[in-house]
Amino acid sequence: MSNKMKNEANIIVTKNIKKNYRDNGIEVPAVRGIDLTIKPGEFAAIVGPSGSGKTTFLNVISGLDSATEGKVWLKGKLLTDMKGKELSDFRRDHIGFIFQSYNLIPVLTVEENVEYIMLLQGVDKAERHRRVLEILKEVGLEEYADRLPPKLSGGQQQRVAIARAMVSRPSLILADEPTANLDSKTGAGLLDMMKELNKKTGMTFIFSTHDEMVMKRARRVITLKDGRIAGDETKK
Amino acid sequence: MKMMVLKIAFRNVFRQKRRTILTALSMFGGFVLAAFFIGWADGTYNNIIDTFTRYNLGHVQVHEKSYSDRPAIYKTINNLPEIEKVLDNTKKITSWTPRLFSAGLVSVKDKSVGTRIIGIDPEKEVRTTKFDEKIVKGRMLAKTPAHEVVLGKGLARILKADLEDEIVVLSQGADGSIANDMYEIVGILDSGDEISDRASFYLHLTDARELLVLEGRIHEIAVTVNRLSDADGVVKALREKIDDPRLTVEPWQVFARSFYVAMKADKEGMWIMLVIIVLVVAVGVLNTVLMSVLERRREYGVLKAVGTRPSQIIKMVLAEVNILAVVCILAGAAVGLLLNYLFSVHGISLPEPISYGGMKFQHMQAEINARSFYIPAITVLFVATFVSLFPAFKAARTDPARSMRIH
Amino acid sequence: MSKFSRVSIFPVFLSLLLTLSLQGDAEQGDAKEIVKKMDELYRSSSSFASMEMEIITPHWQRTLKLDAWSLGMDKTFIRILAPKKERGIATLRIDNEMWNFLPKTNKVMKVPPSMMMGSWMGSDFTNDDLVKEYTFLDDYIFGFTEVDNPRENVLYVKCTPKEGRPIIWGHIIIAVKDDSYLPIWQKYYDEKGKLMREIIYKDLKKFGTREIPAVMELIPHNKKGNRTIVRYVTAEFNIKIGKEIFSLRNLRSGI
Repeated sequence: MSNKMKNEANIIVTKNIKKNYRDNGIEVPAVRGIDLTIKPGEFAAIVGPSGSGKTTFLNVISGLDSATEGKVWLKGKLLTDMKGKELSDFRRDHIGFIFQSYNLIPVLTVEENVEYIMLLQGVDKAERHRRVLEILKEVGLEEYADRLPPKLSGGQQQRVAIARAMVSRPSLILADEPTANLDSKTGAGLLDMMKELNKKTGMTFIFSTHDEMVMKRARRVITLKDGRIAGDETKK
Repeated sequence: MKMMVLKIAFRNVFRQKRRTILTALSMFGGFVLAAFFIGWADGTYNNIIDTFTRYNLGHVQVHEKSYSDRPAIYKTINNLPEIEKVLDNTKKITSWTPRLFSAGLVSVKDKSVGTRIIGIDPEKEVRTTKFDEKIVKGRMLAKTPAHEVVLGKGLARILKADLEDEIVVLSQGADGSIANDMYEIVGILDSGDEISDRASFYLHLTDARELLVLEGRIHEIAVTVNRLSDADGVVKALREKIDDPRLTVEPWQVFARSFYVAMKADKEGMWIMLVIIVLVVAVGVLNTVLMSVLERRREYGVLKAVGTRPSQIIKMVLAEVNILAVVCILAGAAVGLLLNYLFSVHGISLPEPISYGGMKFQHMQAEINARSFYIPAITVLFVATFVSLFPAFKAARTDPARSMRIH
Repeated sequence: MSKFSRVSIFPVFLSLLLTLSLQGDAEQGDAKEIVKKMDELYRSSSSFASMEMEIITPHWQRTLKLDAWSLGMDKTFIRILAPKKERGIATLRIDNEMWNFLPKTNKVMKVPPSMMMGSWMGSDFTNDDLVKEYTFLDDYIFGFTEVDNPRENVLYVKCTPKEGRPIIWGHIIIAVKDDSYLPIWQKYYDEKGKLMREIIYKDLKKFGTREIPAVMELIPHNKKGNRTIVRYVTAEFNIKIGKEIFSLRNLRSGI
C-alpha cells in the first residue's frame, strides 16, 4: 500500500509530530514526535496526566495550532501545509469541535448556535432548520431550541456543543476533555450519547481525557506521557 | 451570514448593561454637547453677522469700482435714478439706501477731531438699517435737510458735545474748494460698532452734497436682502442688470472682508470643541470595547475555530459599536433639537455686553440647522468606528488554540 | 506718509529765501556751514509775503491768493484772499499749535494732532508742513554728495537724519548754486531711498534788494498728477511785524 493510499484510507495520519512552546525565551517541548493513524469510525480516547501533551496534540491534528515539525494528513490532505482561509474552510467542513467549556456563543439561542456553521457554509434556510431539529432531537434538546446557553445546565450545554459539532456532518469530531466540567453521572451520560452517535453515524470521534470513566467507554485508548505515545490499546 | 453578524452584534450590545450605558453616555453626551455648541455658535455668529450687516453695512453694496480699494471723493455713483429702478425690480431685496462719505475736521467749542462725514437719506436709512433705533439720545435727522447732524456716541464723547450744540465741519469739496459749514446736533447714535462710532458724523444727504459739492452723486448704495443667504443671488442679479462698467456690486463677504475673515477664523474654533468630543467619545469607546473584546476572547476563539473569518469578526465588533452609536445619535439628536430650540426661542442676555470686532453684543442665541446635527453625527460615528478598529483587529486575530487554554 | 515730518516746507522755503538774501556773507564753508547759516538767519527773521498757491490735481485745478506773515521760527499767520468761497479763511500757527478761522461759520477751529498730516487747504502741503519747527541743523548730519548727471556750478548737500530723531525721511538732497547758494531743488527720500517728493525753485526775482526764486513747485511722487505751485508776488524781509498779528483775536477778526 502506497503512502498516499494509506493516508486516504485513514481519517488521520500523523508523522513525527513535534511541538515546542516558547516560555520565557526557552523552547519547551510539549509533543516530542508522535506517529499515529486513526481509521474512519473510530471512537478513540487520548489519555494521560496533565501536561502530557494531549491538548497540544489535538490542536495540531485539527489545524488549530501549527506543528513545529512533522506532518498531519486529514482525509488524505496534508493539513500541515494549509494556511489561512484554506485551512479555516477545511476545518469548518471536516472537523467538529467540542471544547471543555464555553463552547457556545452566549447571545445566540441553542438553535442559532447549532445553525452557525451551516450559515458559514451557506446551507439554505430550510435545510438548516431541518438539520438543526434533527440533531437537537438526537441529543434530546428539541424543547430547548429557543433557550440561551446560560440558561442551560453544564451537561445540556455540552450536548448542544455535540449537536453543533455534528450538524455539519464532518468526518471527524474532536473533543478536548468534554466532560471535565461535568459531574461523573452527567459525564457518563454524555459519553454514552457520543458513543451512540458514533455507532449510528459512523463519524470518527477523538477525545482527550484523564477521566477513568471516560477511558472505560473508549474503544481505543492512546496514552501519552511527556509528549510521546506510551501506550495504544484497542479493545475487542 | 450578514444577518447573523448583525444579530450577534445587536445582542452583544445588551450583554454588559453597565458598560453599554457608560459607552452610550460618552457618545450621547459628546453628541449633545457638539450639537448644542454648534447650534449655539452658529446662532450667535449669525446674530453678530446680521447686526453687522443688516443693521450697519448692508448685505450688498454698490460702489464705483475702485472706491473700496482707495476711497476718494470723486469716485461716485452718478446714475442713481437708473440704479434705483434696477433695485426696485430685483427680488429678495428688502431695502436699500444711498450714502455719501468724506473725511473732515469737526469742532464743538474748542474741541476738534478728525471725522468721517456720512451723508444719509433719513427715510431710506431708517427703512434699511433701522438707523433710528440706534439713536440713544435725541432724535433722527429731519426728513428734509435742516442742517442737522447725528453723532456717533464716541465722537460726541471726544468732542464733549451734547444735543443742541453747534458743530463746525471743515472738509474739502469735490471741486477742491474748502468746505465748511455749521450744523446742530440733534441725536447721538450707538451703532454697536465702537470704532466707527468714534468718528461718525451723519447728516442729511442733501446737506452733505451741498457741503462737498457733489450734487446728485453718492458713493455707496447699501442693500439689505431678505435672508443672509440671499446675498450672493442678489449680487449676481444686480451685476447682470446694472449695465455700468464703472460700478461694482459686492456681497458683505467682500466689502467687510476683515470682519468675514475674523468670523470664519472664529468659527474654526468649533473644531476645538469637536476635538474635545472626539476625545470623550474615543476614550469612552476604546475603553469599553477593548474590555469587551478581552473578556470575549474565548468566544472569538470558538468562532474562529468553527471557521468564522477574521473579517466577519471585525464586522461583528464594529457593528456592535455602530448600533450603539446610531441609537445614541438618535437620542442625542432629539435632546439636541430640544435644547437648540429652547435656546433659539429664549436665548441668553448677558449681564455685560461683549465686544466683538468693535461691535457690542448682549444677546446670545442658538440656531437650529442641519450642520449642528450632521457634523457631530459623523464625528461620533467616525470616532467610535476608528477607535474600535484596534480592538476589532485584536478580536479577529484571536488564536483559537491559545484562547481555549485560558481557564 | 504715516509719521510726522519735522521738515516743514514753509519754514524751509522762507528760510532758504532769507539765506539767499544774505548770500554775500556765506563763505566757501562746508555743507553744514551752509545750512547753519540758514537756520540762524531764519530764527531771527520776520517776513511778509503775498503769494498765489496753484493746486493741480487730476480732478480739479484752482488758485488761492494769500497773505502770509512770519515771526521767528514759531509764528505764522496766513489769510486766504481768493477765491471768493474761501475768502477770509485764515490759519494761525504758534509753536506746535494750529487754528483755522472759518468766516462762513465765524468759528475758530483748532487742528488736532491727529489731523496734522492732513492736507492744508487742499494743497499738497500738510498742516504739519506749516507747524513743525525747523530744527534742521540739530536733526541732520550734512555732507556734500554726488548725484547722477550733476550740473556744473551746483553743490549737492545730503542731509541724513541723526539716530533716534522722529523724522520720516531717509535723507534729503539739496541742490544749490555754488556761488550764490541759491536753491535749485530739494528732494525728499524715504528710508528705502525712494523719492517721495521734490521741490523745484525757479524764476529768480528781485524783492526789494534781494533776488530770490519766486516760484516753488512741490511735486508729491506718491500722488500721481498732483502739484502745488507757490508764486511770490511780493515779499518783504526783516520788517517790523506786530505780535498782535499772531493772536486768536486777529485770527477771528477776519479781513
